[in-house]
Amino acid sequence: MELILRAFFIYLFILLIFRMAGKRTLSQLTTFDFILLLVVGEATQQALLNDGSITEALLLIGTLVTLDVIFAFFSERWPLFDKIANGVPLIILKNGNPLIERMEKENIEMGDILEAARKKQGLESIEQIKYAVLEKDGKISIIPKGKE
Amino acid sequence: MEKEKLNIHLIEDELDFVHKERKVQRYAAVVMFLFLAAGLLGFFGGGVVSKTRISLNGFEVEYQQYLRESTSSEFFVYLEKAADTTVISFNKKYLEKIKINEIVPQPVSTKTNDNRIFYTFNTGGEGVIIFYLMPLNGGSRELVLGIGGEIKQIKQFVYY
Repeated sequence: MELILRAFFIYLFILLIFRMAGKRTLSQLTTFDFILLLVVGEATQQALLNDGSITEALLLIGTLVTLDVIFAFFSERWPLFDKIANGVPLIILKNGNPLIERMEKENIEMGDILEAARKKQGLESIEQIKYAVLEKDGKISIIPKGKE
Repeated sequence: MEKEKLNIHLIEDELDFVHKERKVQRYAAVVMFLFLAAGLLGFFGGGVVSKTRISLNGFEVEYQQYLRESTSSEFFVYLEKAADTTVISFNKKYLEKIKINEIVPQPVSTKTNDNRIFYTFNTGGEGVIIFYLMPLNGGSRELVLGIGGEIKQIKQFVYY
């Protein structure tokens, strides 16, 4: 019985707190969001499995989500803070020419770019790619040739 | 094409909901801020509001008024010019809900009667006796603490 009540209460709290945090929180998985989800997962598990206090889990989750909201607020207002907290996008392929040095430093292979090109734009070769960009969240964006 | 227009039109109809949602989000953010501020102050244990110090029979006792389930907490008894032996007792009902994990220094003897447990310590001069407590479940708790024959009721609350 207690387990069901715990699960019910924690589910409701997490649902409400992420709704409070806004749509941005889970849509873009930045470094901080990733850490946030890991810690929230751990805290939730402990509270759910009767290993810890629910209040403690709520305080922990509340603090982390609030920090995430504050970070998002600062990132939106101060570009330098955004750069430090979330990094910047990086062009890794220009006009069909891979920028090898940048790719090596970011541990990206040609296969990764081609995979993104196939999945997102249906492209067959690198010659069809105008730009490949490594985004802040680690995903690769593809801009095909013929598009400005 | 017509269907697409209709869908976008329907989304725009929800704009009123979006405005209300933002208002609720702002209120929720204030509630969350208050919740965390209360946590920082110690309303959920472990802060200045929760930390309580009382005097009993010439001994200073320090404890947390608010505890959290399965989270350990310390209960201090400060000795000042104590006699050779000091007897500290707890009511059994309290110890059924709050477990004593460790006592430092360890008592030289333990005695029990119908509703109390007595711990006897070799003391003398200044020092501190620490009880490491672990609340087993939530709710309000009443500790009837005895030190050297004097008794005091202490109320605590354990958060789930």
